[in-house]
Amino acid sequence: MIMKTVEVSGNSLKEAVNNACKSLDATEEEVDIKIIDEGSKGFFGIFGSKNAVVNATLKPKHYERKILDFLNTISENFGSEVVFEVSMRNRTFHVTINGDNISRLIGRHGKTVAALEHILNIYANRLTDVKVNVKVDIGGYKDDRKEIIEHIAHKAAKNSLSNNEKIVLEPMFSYERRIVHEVITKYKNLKSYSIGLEPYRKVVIDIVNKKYDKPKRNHNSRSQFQKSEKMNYNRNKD
Amino acid sequence: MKDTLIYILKGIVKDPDEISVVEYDENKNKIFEIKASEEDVGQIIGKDGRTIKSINILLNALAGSSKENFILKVIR
Repeated sequence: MIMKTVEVSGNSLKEAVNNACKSLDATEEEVDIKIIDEGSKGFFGIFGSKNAVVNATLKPKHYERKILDFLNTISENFGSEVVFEVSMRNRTFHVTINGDNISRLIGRHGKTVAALEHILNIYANRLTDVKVNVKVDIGGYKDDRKEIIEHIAHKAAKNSLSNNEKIVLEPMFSYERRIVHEVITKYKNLKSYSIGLEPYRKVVIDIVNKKYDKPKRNHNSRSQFQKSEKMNYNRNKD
Repeated sequence: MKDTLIYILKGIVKDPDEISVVEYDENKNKIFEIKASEEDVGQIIGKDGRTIKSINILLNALAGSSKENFILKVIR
């Protein structure tokens, strides 16, 4: 990952490092320092003195601290105690949140987590020059949810096979529907697709009937449907 | 809550110094009028209003049990 780097000079090596930290808004621990020129005091500090020059590069630690600060400041008004953890792997910041009363931070159907994630994404991308991602997980909510969805999908798939009929699931979010689709691909005799408009779009699990299945035509009609659906969706937005 | 709002906004815009927020009550709702530089208005609102909606959801979650609603208005 390409981190922000600055070249800074100062009267002494120490001053150059200090200046670098100041311009990056970081502590000394959060930057990698590469010395370009050690500088020299010259003769009695008057003649031939040369400024020290360093290259300072931000470490991931700096961004992690910045995001942590941001979260801690926001949650000052929250009331109960919340603990944040931030770690960076590749270009993704993983934020985990734990504490009392965190169900309020999850929100209905994970609405608040999604909102927080969106804002953190913008904040993190303001800090860095390259595109980064932020993933937020509160109290293992996402893992729990994934397990539940997988369970529902397997159960529905088995029902569909044993009764030889198609099954329409309850409305789900897009990432939840994706989990269902992934599960269904493991069943050779089943196919899945989504119908309806957001936020009530739902997954249909159906038996694959080779005789009547025309994948090409299905595909076309689906993409067309999605287009008109998108237009409707925009119109219906509040 | 106003301070939190300002802090969030300053974190996501290009010109943090241009941000100002006016707070007032109207029909039991708390209204925040956000002023930002022309460039940042789009950033604050986001695609299909996603960002401003997210901020609103977050504020309501942080405020918790107090049942007042926040309304955010972005003006230039």
